[in-house]
Amino acid sequence: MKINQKSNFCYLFRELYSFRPGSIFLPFLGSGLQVLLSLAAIWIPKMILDQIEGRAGLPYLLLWAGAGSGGLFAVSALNAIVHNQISACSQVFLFTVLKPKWEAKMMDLDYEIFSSGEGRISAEKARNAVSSPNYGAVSYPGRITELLENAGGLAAMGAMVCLLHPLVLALLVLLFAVELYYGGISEKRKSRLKEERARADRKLNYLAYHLRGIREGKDIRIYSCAGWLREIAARAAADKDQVERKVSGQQFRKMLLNGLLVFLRSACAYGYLIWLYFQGDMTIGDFTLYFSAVTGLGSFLEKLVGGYSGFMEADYYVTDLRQFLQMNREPGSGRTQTETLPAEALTGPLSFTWNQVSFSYRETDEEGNCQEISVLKNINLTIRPGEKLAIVGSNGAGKTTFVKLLCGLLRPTRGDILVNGVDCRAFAGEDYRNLFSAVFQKSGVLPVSIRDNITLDMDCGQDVARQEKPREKKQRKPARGRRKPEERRGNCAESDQRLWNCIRLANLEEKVRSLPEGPDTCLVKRIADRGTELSGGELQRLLLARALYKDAPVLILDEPTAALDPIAENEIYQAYGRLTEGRTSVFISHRLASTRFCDRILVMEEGEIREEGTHEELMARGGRYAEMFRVQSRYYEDGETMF
Amino acid sequence: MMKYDRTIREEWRLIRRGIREFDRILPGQMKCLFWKSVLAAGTPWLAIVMSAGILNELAGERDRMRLLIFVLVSAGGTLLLSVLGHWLNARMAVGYGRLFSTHEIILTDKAFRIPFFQLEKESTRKLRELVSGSMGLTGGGMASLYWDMEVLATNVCRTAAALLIGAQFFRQVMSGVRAGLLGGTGAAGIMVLLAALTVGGAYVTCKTAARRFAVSFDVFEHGAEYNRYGEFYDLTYLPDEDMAMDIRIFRQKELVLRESLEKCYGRLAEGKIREMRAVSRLDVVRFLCAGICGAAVYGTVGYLAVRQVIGIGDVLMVSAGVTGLITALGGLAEIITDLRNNNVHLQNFFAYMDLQEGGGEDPGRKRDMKTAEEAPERTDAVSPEAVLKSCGIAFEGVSFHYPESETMVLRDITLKIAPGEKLAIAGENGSGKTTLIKLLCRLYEPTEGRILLNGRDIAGLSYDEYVRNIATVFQDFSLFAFSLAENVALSGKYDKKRVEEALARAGLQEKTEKLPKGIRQAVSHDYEEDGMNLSGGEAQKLAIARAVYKDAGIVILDEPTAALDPYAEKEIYEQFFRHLAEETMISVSHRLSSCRFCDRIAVLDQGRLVQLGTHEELLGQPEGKYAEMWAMQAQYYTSADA
Repeated sequence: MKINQKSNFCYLFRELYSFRPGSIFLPFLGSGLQVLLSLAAIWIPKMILDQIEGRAGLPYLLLWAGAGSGGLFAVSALNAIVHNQISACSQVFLFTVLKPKWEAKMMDLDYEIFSSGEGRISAEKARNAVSSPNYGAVSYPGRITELLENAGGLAAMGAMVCLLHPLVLALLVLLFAVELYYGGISEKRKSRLKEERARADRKLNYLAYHLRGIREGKDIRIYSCAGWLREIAARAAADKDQVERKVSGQQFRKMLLNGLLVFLRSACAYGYLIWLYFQGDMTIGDFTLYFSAVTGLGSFLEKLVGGYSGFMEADYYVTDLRQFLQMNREPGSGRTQTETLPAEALTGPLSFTWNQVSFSYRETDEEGNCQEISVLKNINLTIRPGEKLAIVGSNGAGKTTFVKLLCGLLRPTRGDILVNGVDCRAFAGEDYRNLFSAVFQKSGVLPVSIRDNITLDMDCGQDVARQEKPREKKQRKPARGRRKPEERRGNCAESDQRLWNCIRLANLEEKVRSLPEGPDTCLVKRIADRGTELSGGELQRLLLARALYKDAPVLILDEPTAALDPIAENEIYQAYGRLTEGRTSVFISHRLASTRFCDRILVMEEGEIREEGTHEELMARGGRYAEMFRVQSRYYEDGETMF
Repeated sequence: MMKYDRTIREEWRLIRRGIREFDRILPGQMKCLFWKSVLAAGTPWLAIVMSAGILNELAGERDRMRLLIFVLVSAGGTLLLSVLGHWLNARMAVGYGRLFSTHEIILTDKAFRIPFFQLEKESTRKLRELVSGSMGLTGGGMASLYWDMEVLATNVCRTAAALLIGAQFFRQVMSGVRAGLLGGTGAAGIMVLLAALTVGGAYVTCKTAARRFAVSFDVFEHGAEYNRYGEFYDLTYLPDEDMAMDIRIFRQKELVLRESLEKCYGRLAEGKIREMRAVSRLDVVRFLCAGICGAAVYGTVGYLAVRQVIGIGDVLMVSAGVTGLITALGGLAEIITDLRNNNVHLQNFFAYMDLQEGGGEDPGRKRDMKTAEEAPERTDAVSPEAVLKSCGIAFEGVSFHYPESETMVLRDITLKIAPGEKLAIAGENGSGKTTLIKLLCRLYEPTEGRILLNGRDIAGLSYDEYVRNIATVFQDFSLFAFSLAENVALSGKYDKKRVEEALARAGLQEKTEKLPKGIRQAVSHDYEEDGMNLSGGEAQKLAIARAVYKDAGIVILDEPTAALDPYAEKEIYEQFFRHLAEETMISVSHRLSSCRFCDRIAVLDQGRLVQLGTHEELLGQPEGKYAEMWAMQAQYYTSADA
């Protein structure tokens, strides 16, 4: 769908309507009341003054004062209520509709797009659009209201001034046009400073929000560099001030002109009205009424311009959000199929065939040149059902990309990956990803209970990808609403059993039992109250338990032992056979020793498979693997001097 | 109503200190703020008084000269005042643009000045989060103080302006009585009525405002906590490329959506609705009040005008004065409530800023909240006697537990490290290896026992002097988003040649040569747009280059090769370790292979030093921990193809 001002308006009001149908009338009601209010505010003094000038008696005076004030009260109270409603309604809409939409998209978006530069920028812009209750897309209904009320107020005041004399209106518009013209120039100058300003802000924000950690604290102390950072902060602040000085200088000049024009306007209005009064054409009440109308017209004109740029800003935010929400795989890149094959086709023993698979991504450098960076080149490979595969290679050889391709997070740039002979692109992404379970190099945990971290709230009965159990995708969906945790747990005695099995397998039972709340203890102390923090080794085990709980046909372990001490590492190696029982597994490691348990070892080098075979075969071959092995094992051989 | 446990005097003391400290964040702003408030109240006052004059003149003598003067004073005065106001605004906008970031920077700067144990403490972290969180969320603390002071000053000035109008009105009524236009009791009645309306109106406004604040306070008391969840998901978890893989493989979407709604956004939405209801109630009461007062004022003042006690122009002026006074008094009461509520945040801010300093910084140095502009120039030149060429270290009966825990992490460690010796520390996760290093770096003080450097207790040395002798590569080292060279030297002034040397020794020469700006290239996008991200292995090498550049007598390495592949590991071993000659080195690693580069190995088990000796000696103790660990790692490398 095309994104423009009109479609943004339709989109937002449609969403508002389905959020709360009544809410779409609020802006119109609010602006109507506001115009009424500004009219009442200048009419009431006139009526009173007219009564006084006419030497009315006290009862009349009180009647007029009472009626005027009563009316004013009714309109202003109602107006305030509606405006408060608009602001609250927009914020609730932000919190319960727009934010979740953004979050859901962050998790649904195709990983390849998500991790591309374009995707990241779009995600960040959209995040900014929904990040605050004080600015961004949330302000859209309020901006619409403002726009309407300023236009309405302008029309009302304009009509009144026109009543005085059409030329007065023309003169006021002329004065305003001068201001608008200069305002445009000034804005242009200011927007030229925008980038400079953003740069200064970014530097300050880095210093303000990225250096407060304990990690930095240690290095800063040992290398005594607090003074240096202080100098940098002072420089960044001075830079920021310099930019702001330019911006506020512009603003000051603009306001100077505005002050002069207001001076002219008031002086002329007074002069003309006094002249009219001397002509005997008006009462004191009329005099105040018209003077207020002239002033009011000026301020409405000003507000309309401000309101319009405010509306444009809100509109840009809505555009940013919608652009992100509409982001998707471009048709034509890769093989897109309209019909996806049913997930049932992915049952039974699975074999994966890589057919001339290459992967590259595009990167744009500073000059805007697009350059293709090749990560994997012409990979041909068959992974047999139940095979234990190991991948070794130095940093940057493409191991992690290999894994991402295998589990469907990325799609080959060229070539195909076939599962049981069917192109993996033929399946729905989620169905395909269900075949895999993994411990990635940098996996993390959520600030929820250990139980939820492991089971990830996959209700019992919906074992994700176990071949024996047919998955009921259609029926599962409605069951995943917001239910109380107890309820979720109650009918899950069986899953509890499974949870403990996985905890035991991952060697985490002792730790979990030692926690006061057992598996219901929350993780991530800095977020969750009463949360606990796991050590590096414990975390690794928890991630392993999670991967086991998912119980998928293919298990991927990417450097799972880097944070473990030799004994814990050994435990994992020993358990490896048990962990991977009945599954296909892929094991990535720097430590060549670990590859011994695998049926086949792939040696990757610069995006290509250089060697493959069993440990013995590769050692006998005396190639890359044998050389790497010797480098590592040298340290472990007895009696050899190092240098 | 809120309950306060501070007296007015205490409240005032907090606010005064707040104003003083604010001047350190944005110097001069508070003074400008005061003048701006005077102008904000004065400008409408001038317009009201002058227009009353014009109307009176029109209805009365119609003197053209006087009319001209009124018009010119009104329009010209407004021009003058608004120009002054805009000039002040322009001046204030300059600092205001960085109020929030400077506030954060000052808090972070404080974090560098307090002892490390204090920084790592749970309570300090919570306090910092509270201060940063309330400021970030609602401006609670310094920003609120600033905003409130503006409202406070403006309302004080408005009250004064309204009272001026009132005094003028009183004089007119008095002269009306003298002239026999009005009876004395009638005049008194009117004055009492107007005073009662003002006071009553202000009272009601202030009461409802207090109620509204109580609701807001209640609603947002937990706001920071809710926000913590929201920020975790939206800023940390969801945008992370690694977590994105977890999310997709483990289908975390529903769980994350539910969590963020339940723990954060749902609650914020609920709070907003409650707040909106309270605000609407307040508004209705406020406008009702204004309506009643307006009717009464117009009625009575209009009556006076009809009786010609006052001019017709004064009707609008007096009614503007009365409504202005009610608003100003109500606003004053409201802002005082807000200031008192805000004092909770100020107290947190002060509690954080008052944390005892020392440790990471020269404790003798006076605390200085300003940024480095006025801070004394750091001397990077180290007095020659401070840098020791040969360093011997001795642990004497060192035991240690963390301040917030009773469990002993280290028990009775006695260990002598000769100058120039290379010592490896081995042990399982949680055996106390990293803690030992923290003690040696004086990030913590031993609970019992002492650590000696060349025979002198390190607790007796000044921290700055002491750390000049140590170069540490922590397991979780940090990179700064500045240039490669600055990251190596950790200073803005560096010796280019030595930086290049250090990079070469850490195996980064090739990488550096490939960078378009060489050593001047920033190492992330966070600060400079043209920064280059380093891989995990490269970052680790950079951390090693830092230690090389520092050229200290003691080199401490905590898992320096964990992120490196076998080749890079080998490179580090051969390039870096081999060039350490007179330096004393202490290295911790899970990869026991690195122990073989060391003269001796100390094995820790549950906080105790269980073994100490050369690799061969320790392997000769087959029952020992070391032999057990060694066998486990070595078996995969040696058994099959020996």
